[in-house]
Amino acid sequence: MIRNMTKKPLEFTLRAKCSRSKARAADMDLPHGRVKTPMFMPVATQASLKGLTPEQLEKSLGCNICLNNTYHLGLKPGQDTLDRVGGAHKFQNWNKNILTDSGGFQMVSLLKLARITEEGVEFQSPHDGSPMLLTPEHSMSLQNSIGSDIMMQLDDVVATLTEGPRMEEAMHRSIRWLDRCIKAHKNPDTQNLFAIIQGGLDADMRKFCCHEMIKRDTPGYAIGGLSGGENKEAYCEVVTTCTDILPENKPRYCMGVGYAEDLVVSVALGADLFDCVYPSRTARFGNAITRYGNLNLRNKQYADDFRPIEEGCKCPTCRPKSEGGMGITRAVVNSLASKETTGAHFLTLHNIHYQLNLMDEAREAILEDEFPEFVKKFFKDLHGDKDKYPQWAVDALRGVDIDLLD
Amino acid sequence: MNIAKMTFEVAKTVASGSAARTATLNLSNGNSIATPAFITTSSRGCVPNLTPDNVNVDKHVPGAVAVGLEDFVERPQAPLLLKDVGDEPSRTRFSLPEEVNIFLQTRRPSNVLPNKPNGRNMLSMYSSVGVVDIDIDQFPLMANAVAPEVFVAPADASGLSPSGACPGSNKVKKMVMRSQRWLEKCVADVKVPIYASILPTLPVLHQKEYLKTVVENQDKINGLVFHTRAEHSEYPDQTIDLSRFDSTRKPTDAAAAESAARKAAAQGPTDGNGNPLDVKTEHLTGPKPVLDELKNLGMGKTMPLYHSGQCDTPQQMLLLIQQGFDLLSGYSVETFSDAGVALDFTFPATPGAVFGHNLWDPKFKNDFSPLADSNQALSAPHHRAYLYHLLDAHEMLGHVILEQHNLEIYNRFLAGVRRSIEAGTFDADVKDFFEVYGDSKLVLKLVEMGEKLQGSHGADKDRF
Ligand SMILES: [Zn+2]
Repeated sequence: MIRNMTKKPLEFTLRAKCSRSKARAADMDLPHGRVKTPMFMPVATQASLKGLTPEQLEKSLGCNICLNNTYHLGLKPGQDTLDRVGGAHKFQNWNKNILTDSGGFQMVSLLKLARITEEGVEFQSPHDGSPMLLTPEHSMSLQNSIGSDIMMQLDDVVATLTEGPRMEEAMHRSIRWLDRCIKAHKNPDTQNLFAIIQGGLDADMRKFCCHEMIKRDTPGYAIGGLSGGENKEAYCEVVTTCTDILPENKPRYCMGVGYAEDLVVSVALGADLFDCVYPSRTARFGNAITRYGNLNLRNKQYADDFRPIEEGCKCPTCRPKSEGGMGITRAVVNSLASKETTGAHFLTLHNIHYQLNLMDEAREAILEDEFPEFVKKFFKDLHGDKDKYPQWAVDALRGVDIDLLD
Repeated sequence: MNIAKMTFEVAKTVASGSAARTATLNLSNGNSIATPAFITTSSRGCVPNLTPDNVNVDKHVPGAVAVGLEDFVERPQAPLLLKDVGDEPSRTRFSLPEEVNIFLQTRRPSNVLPNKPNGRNMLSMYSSVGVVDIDIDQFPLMANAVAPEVFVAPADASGLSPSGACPGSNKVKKMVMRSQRWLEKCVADVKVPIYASILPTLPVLHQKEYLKTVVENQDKINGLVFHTRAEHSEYPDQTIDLSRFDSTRKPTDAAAAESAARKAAAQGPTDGNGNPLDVKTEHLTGPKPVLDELKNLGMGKTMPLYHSGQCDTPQQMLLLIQQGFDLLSGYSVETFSDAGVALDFTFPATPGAVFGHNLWDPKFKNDFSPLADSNQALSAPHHRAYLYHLLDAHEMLGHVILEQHNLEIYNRFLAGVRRSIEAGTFDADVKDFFEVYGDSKLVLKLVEMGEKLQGSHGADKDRF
């Protein structure tokens, strides 16, 4: 096969920048199609997104990129199966893009006995308890077998609130591990390896780490080590510190971020990509995310509520039958919730649509240079009164010249 | 009163041998169903595991969906289906594609007998919050609110005991009288086409008075429904009449079943003349005795026959079709899907092929062939290894894909049945089917296997 050697597996083209905040809209061309940023990426942990078919995800929800978790795929179906079938796209019949994490975070968070050394992450096999080691080389090998369009380096994950020498060690080690990952990565022509910025809540460490990672010139950068119980002010501080330094012509990915408010503020601070299990997980507990806040449709009050989950929502669940949707009401979801899996599927469709649509609307607003107005409307719909707006969001947005209380 | 028009045209019957026939059932909504057809099961108004956008009516639900009122009566004083939402019929509250045909029946497809007797004007139903009593006046109201293509009128079956014994004469009398009154009530008040229920397991003689009521109201009745008791789930194809298919294959099984059936008959209840009643005879004779009696009583039209009772396998479906049934419960699709089986049979049978694959089996871990071998261009693009993974990883998507796949296999199976009847080769094709795929007992081993294998996968919980 003759390949066009000049074409990189990731082309990032800025389309517009907000004239006030740091928000930007871009097209990110990947091996399995274009991703329009800002973008929320749903999480298909074990090569499936909680009951949704790949057709539903691609055709009904218009999703072009989802996540698979390397740790989970390494266990089931396992590297051997992935090699035999020719990667995760073929395995799950998903012809759009896949992003994978390194597997490290999952190990540290799921397996209490994991221990980190310079060599890698030591852990006990959940199968038979035998000692195992995830090295940067092994993570690359797994992600090469998966064939993900965007791969993550193995990083040294420590709790976000860690301070001092251990955090500094983790940051330096993550840089060393990136070098090992780059060396071990077998398919740089077809798969993109992103660096992960570490450094906890320490601005100097984050800055140092950014500069080191930029030197390695990876196709994109993730801001890691967040969503670990830090307060939102600190989170925003880290994001804005990093986006100030990271090159404009490459994507920035806030890992594990998924609450609507966090997405909107992070976009204002210059982040492009997000992922979180929250919308599909919360669906299984009967929760619908809406622009006016969450509804728990298990509550009795919805038993005779024949309105759509969210008035005017264009998701496949809410959209009226006359417009090609399913026209499902709150009463129907209430009657199915916790009794039939279909109830959870309805909410998963709605919630994933909510997240994708929120980022679509943000993108449209940036392209029209109306992003500050979009942000203001978003907070007004969600909270109503201005005195209910969270102070951290007001402050963070003020920092990028959007005054919510105006 | 405005009874919507519904017609039933028999196209072809098998010349000799069985009573199998093809027909067209024209529904009041303008749709027609080619029979024999299967009626897809629903639970709480949805095809299990499938949101309506995942239901392709032509591929998955070519006949109709059976919806049980039982799923909607948690609040007996204020049933959900009677809540007013303007001009829309309450069927819009089902999670089904709009163009699907709905058969509304009292019970959800299940084999559980009510453990509480019905009242004079009360039907005892299993709701998700326990047993509730529903006033018989509610049924026409709910039928009219839902506006299904067919409403199956309730009958009193509460005198039946799980042991299968014929109820005593007082109980029988009550059952017949209530069922008569309930049918008359529905005929008078229900504005959609009605199918009348034949009283399950009662010999013709015992329900003659009720059958008279059916005949008297024949102008307003569009079909007959036969329920079968749970006890008949013992593979009827293992009992006497099937020995003709099975004798070469499993002579001992057939002989044992025959002797068991004889023994049961000898010890069982007796009819009015003191002759033993064979509680298993229903499967041998099918609807014929009831139809003969209805004819004697003056029934002048040919009605579609719906077997809404337990039917565990396609093998049983074939035997019911041979007995003359036009519509069959598709409940067994759920049995196979729940057990992790991807069905692979065809009709006529594909020589050398297997009935299905239990995808819990680790042998599929690296099997990247399509779910079905049998040369069918099926819509699911997925391979066995992925389904094995989804089951192994306890991912809900596995059940979504299996449900779609198995419904499509049943649909093709029944299309094959109709072609075979039209071609005049049906009875021979049935014999081949048993020879290639085995009998019910054999194919249900695939289901048992699923239960066993599932256990060996452990219950490692979904982590997120
Ligand atoms: Zn919606």
